[in-house]
Amino acid sequence: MIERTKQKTHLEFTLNGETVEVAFAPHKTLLEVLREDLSLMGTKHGCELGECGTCAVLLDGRSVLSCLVLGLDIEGRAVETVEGMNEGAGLHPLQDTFADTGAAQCGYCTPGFLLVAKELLKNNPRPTREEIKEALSGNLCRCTGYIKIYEAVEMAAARMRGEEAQLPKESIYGYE
Amino acid sequence: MPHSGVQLGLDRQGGVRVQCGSTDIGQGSDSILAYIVAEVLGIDPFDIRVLTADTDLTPVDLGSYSSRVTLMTGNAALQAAERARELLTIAVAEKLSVPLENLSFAERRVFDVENPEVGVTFSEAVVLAESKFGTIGTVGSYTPPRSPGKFKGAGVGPSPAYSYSAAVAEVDVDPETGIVTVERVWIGHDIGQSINPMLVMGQVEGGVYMGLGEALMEEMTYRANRNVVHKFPSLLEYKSPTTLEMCDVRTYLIEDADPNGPFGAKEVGQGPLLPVMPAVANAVYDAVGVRIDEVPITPEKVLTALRDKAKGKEGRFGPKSVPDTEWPQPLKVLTPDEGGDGREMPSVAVHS
Amino acid sequence: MDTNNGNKRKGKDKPLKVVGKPFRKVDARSKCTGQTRFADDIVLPRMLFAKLLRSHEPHARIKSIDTSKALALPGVLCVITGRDLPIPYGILPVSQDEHTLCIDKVRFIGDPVAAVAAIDEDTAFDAMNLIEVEYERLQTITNIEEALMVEEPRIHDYGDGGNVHKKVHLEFGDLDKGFAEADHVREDIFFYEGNTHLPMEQHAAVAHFDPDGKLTLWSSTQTPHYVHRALSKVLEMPAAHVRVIATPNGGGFGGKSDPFNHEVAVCELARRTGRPVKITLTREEVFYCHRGRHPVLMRIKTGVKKDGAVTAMDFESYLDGGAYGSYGVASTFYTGALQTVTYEVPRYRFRGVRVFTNKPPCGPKRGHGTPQPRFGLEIQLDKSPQTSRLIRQRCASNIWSSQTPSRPIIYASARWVLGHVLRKWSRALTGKTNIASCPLAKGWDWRAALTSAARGCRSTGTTCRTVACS
Repeated sequence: MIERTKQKTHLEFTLNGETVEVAFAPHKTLLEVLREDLSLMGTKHGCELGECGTCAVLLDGRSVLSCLVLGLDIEGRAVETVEGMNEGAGLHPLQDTFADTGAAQCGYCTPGFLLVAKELLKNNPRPTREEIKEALSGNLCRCTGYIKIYEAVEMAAARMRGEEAQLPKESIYGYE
Repeated sequence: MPHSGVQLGLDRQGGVRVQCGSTDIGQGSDSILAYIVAEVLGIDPFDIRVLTADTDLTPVDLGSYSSRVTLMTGNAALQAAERARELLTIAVAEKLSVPLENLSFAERRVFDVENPEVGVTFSEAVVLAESKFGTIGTVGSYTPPRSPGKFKGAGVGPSPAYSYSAAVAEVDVDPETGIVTVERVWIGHDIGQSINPMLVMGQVEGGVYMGLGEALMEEMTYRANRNVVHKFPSLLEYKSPTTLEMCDVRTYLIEDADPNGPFGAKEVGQGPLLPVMPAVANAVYDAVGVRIDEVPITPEKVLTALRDKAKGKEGRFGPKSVPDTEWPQPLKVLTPDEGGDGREMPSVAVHS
Repeated sequence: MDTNNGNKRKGKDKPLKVVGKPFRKVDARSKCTGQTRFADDIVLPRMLFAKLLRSHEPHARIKSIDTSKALALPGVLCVITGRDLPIPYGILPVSQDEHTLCIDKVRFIGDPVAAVAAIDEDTAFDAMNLIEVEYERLQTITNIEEALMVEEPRIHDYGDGGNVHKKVHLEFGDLDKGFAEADHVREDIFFYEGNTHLPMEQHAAVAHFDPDGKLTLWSSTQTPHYVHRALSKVLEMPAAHVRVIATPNGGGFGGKSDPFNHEVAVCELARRTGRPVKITLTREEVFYCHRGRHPVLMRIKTGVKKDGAVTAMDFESYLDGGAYGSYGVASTFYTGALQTVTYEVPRYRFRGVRVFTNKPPCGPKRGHGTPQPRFGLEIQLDKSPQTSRLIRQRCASNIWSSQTPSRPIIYASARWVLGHVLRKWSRALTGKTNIASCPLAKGWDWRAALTSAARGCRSTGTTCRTVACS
């Protein structure tokens, strides 16, 4: 018989706006707790060292690398993952624009970018392109070259301000 | 043997199932199948269920490499969709007493182009076809044409269609630090026909990004001792461009349909990468007058070349020689100008 | 081809409704809501976790492997080594030189020698560290020059002698005549360092045998069909009883196109334990898996006439292949294959050699053997005023030629693209439309004109620009 030592710790925290109880081995990172103990696979791992940004989540509204946060440290705090970004049955404007602009190619880095962008737009509803680049500089993407990502963030920001926004023609068809 | 196969199933309630062995690696190949089938059958791409990359459920596709997917699976999907359309056309024409060539497929309807109110819905068309022919399922496949070369090695390189890219790189070089900053890349790509221009743009921009990485910072290097340990197997130390290093990209898509591609489409996954590295290297020369004949073009190399140039030596950083080696006897092939037919010339005369 | 020629609409001509439009991708929203299931997101009941023990020696004979301590660790269900999977495989029929787990020797740091399946990843990791391997070091071969020089020890027992994997020598036309006709002959040497795909998603695979003994492998592969063939071969199972599902891929670029050790290993572990087994490579392991861009040393000798026309090209490439064949033979041919697709080269010689070294194996990466020669060729053209005139002259018109089906159309397309980009760029730079019409006229030195136009626009900084046509 395989013996496992009793080791799980048990705590309560707010996950995507809901109170949740979870039991997990105390050495685990928040990333592992989310993926392995809460079955939320949207948050990704791309490295083991906090270098790529694919594991980014919002902790008390601030973007953190969940692979560098201990599960034990989230007790009583608020965590937001990509699964909680939906607004009811609809999508968050960022999710809409990322989907509509092709800013998600393979999609592996997308959850991380979405959450960091969400934090940016909460703190700065009218970011410049430079501010967007700076805010997203901790997230790596190998597919897109980032350009559609900036455009998606700008489009979402405009829509969240109540403005009409579409991709400029050159972004879709190239220049004449 | 086909390199790509597509199976299409039409449901009598209007859904369409596309099965193909191709693998979507983020470039959108699943969507390309949906777009092409939707175009031919006049339905919405979201009416289509795309099932791919399952060796039990999908016909063989050789895989996502070599920029083959849009052209090969696209052609296979086009063939399968046109075959399905033919069945529906025959059944609807019979029902509506309309000549075959008058029927058009658009907006989930099949209708008489001359009297658009005369028509049926797409699902009704499928029902009519199913009543006439039985369960509707069609197949399309694609085998590339034979390469004109018949010598050993001729199979590597030939393509039913070639795409072209050209780039201009605008680069800043700081002569004090050797740091090279690419401000903007202007890039033209000959796509044939964009199946989805936004996705094409994404590939071009991604190609420029990867080219930038290769040109300036990416390298698999190993410790110079006997142990050959990788120097930096991590995402932080193996440098790839972040948002702060990525340049602006100004893209021109040149569309002239290629007869060998589905709707005239050609590749975009690899072509736009290629001109970026040499454009950056040539730009560095244009800026500060030194040649870096290798990648990555790091600040150390630029500075070394600048210092050499200042001392009156050749302002160049790069390899100086190639190793000595014996080459095998050449395989000789006559060129087309010389009347060659693609075959290897015999190295020994049969008759003396 | 009957209906494969699809660029003319059948029946009445109608405008395109879907093709050419910026529709959202069919999987876009799924990717933006975290619902896409990548390979590592798959969880099956009673699933085990696997780890591969990898060599820390770059080149060594395996004298012994002792897995007893690993097997004794609580929570470990199975440990396998090379002898459990003796059938070799490889992506190309001509280089079936890989074993799931090394049997007699290891050929690079990272070469897998054993695999463990355990109840969780931490236990698998601990078990992996308890496996004892005794190595007998062999001389390492670290670069192209060494590989060409060192005949013994051989990294592989096959190839074109010593540590040479493949040597190619192709000649098209009479090169001596071609160089004799040239007004100017230029020779340059270039080096293109190796790099890797760096996909954001690490390779992952889950294997499951159902009660009928049929295997399903979910894997982050770009080539499920090739993995299917390799599994059937190595596991000695009928292919009809093997199912490979390529999960949504978090970035390939060529790095997930080989059948991999970990893919076969999880299948064997699943077979022996009767439970699903998952493996996800660490980022460091992804670097060792590699199959990325070959480092290539190139010597290019080109003869040109005063007007820029090429009379002959002699191209040599030396590829550092790493420890295994992978797609390397194809990569070698690719370094020689596309030079003549953009420029008219009436006489061409290609010599290429790929060597084995004790480093992670190189394979296909976006471009696959063509970025390296393109880099060298475009710089060489830029270095020579005669050859840069070639670009200008060849771009003199963008009219299709309706002659022989291959060459004129190819060149027309290349000219067209380059001309288009140059015109747009120069017009934007200067704001003058007259430059847009003259850059490609015969006799005009485009480099000089563009440079002086640029100087007029910018007052400070060492800004520069250049062109590469590919």
